[in-house]
Amino acid sequence: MVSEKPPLRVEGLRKSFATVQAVDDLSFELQPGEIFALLGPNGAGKTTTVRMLTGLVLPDAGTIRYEGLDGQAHARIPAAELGYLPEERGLYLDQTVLRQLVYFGCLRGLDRRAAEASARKGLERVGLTDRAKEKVSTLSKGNQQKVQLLAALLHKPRFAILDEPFSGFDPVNQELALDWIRELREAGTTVLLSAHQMPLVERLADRVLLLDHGRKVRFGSVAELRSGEVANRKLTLAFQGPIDDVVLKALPGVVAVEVLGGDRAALLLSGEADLNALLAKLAQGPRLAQVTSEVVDLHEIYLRAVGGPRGSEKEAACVPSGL
Amino acid sequence: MRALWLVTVWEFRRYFKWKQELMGLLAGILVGGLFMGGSALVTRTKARQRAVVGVVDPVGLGLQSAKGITFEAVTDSIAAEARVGKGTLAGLLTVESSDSVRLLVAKDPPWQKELEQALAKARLAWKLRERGLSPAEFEGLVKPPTLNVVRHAEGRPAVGQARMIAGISILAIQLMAVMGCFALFFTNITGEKQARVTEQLVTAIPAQTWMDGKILAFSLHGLKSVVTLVFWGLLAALGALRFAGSPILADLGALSPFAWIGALSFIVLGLLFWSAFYAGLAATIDDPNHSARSSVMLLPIMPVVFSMMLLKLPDALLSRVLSWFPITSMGMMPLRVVQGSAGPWEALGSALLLLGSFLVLRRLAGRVFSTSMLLYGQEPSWGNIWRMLRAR
Repeated sequence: MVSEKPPLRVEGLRKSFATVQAVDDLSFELQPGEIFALLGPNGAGKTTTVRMLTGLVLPDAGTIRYEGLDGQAHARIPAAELGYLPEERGLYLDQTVLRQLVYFGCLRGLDRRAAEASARKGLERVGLTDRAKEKVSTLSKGNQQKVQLLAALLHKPRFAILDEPFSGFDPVNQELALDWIRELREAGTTVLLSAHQMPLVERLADRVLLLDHGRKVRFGSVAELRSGEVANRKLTLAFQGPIDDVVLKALPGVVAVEVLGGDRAALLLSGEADLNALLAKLAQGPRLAQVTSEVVDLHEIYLRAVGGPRGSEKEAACVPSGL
Repeated sequence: MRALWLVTVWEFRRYFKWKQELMGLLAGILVGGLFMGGSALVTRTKARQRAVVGVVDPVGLGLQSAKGITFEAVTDSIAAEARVGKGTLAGLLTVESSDSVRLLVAKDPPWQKELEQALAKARLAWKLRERGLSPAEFEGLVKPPTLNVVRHAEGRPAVGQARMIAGISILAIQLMAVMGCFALFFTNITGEKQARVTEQLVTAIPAQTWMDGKILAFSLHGLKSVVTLVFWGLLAALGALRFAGSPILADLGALSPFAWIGALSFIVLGLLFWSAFYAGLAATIDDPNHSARSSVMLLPIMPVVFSMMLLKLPDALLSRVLSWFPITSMGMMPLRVVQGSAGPWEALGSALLLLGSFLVLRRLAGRVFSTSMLLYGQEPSWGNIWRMLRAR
């Protein structure tokens, strides 16, 4: 049964490693049964946040409050209610697929029979029934990834943390994972995921938290993030004549102009821009060959939020402070 | 407890393969059988192989036949020398005096040692004859006085050869048990760190449970090595039939149940102690092939070496101290117990201290593991480890 209270509430979370502030005053809460995406560049603090939620790393300050099925508040998510797919993943390569799935299920609180039944059902779902008795080392990387995801979700957790659930999957299996995560939500599981595949996150996530240098830089649904952008629509134009970017910049509702080279330019428009008025004005200039209109996607919002593409990041070594 | 049981069974079964164990046992029996059969064949061949040595003995030394050698009196030494060259005589012995004998051979004589013994015996008999003494009179002259050792009524029983053998066996078993599981800690813990398996596991169970499960599972593997060793030891002893009719078996049987239980307890406790040590150390190692810490893994050999050195000095102050000190007590206390140097209460106290040390060590191993498991591709420094040990 899904509680109506937020299952997880994080307030003022801080964590530093040596000289790096990995997480800095982070607060958020998850609604029951939602898919919540944690996004950010490498070194933004996503993994440290996840590790604090699972109890692997203790926060320097702040509180984590998880409302357990037992009605108690916990400072970490209890093992039996948590499904965890870590970023640093691995399986026992020398063991058979079924045996280790049963082991993982038992460690998460299932009895042996239930764990085996759930493992077999899951293997059937991902098309690996005939590989159940084979050693994991014989599986392809994609199939190992399926087993890994299965190991995390085998016990039907109330709360799932999936760090990069799509990595290692081809497009077909990415769709399979997408459906799987949606089914989790439908079954009442609250999902916190971290991923770099922006189009997939955009299709999946109910809400998004963008992190940078351990701080919250954007938060809300994809629609909210989009409406919060100064320029949330992009008009790509191809002219049959020379472009004057100064003239383009002066058009109503245009926030910025990006000359794409030759006779092409992209206009970034504010939310209030009147497209009809703009097109009327454009019609007075050089002859238009092509017009494409699109809303700003999550990828663009992400890049803007973190200040564009970056070089190497200073990453935090995950050791307790003071070491 | 359920999680501990799950981890222990999982880890034990990962490395315990019935089929391979059985095959190993059968192969061992087969190799042992072949070895014994081969030895018997060699012994028989040696017994049948006799060297014929010609003897020119003008002195009258009177050589008797020796093991593997038949002496043949020679009158024509030139013809005999020719036979040596052709190989029909293994050698030609010419007694020049009672103190000097010349041996002519065509190749290195493998029976030289036996010949020397026969010569020494013949020379002694010759010298005795020369002095008019019979062999019995000579034996009476060189026989040492009979020493009757009388045990004091309040003293402890004599330490027979069997007890010494028991003591050495206990040390060997301990070493075998510890070494039987040390490779597992290395390959398993560092392997799992490299395979990144641990992170998901320790969100399901406490890191300490994971560590305890490994300590128990690999200690069981160590004990399995002991059972195998004892099996082979007994088989070898019975196979050789060396102890049949010897007082050694009776002497071993006379050891009190306390001594046997005590020895077994120290084997188990010592194994657990070193397992916890190995587990903690392995958790700090990233790559066992390139870590300087690998050499520390040989530390458990130390108590066995000390105990061997003090084998015959169970009452020395150093022996008594080492039998209480947890790192060395696993080897020293059982030695003192089987030799009657330590009583039940002393053994019990030392065992409790060893148990307490194990419990502390396993806790420290858990602390080290819970932090260092997240250090991928790097090893914590000794300073970092010290801070992990002190962390709460």
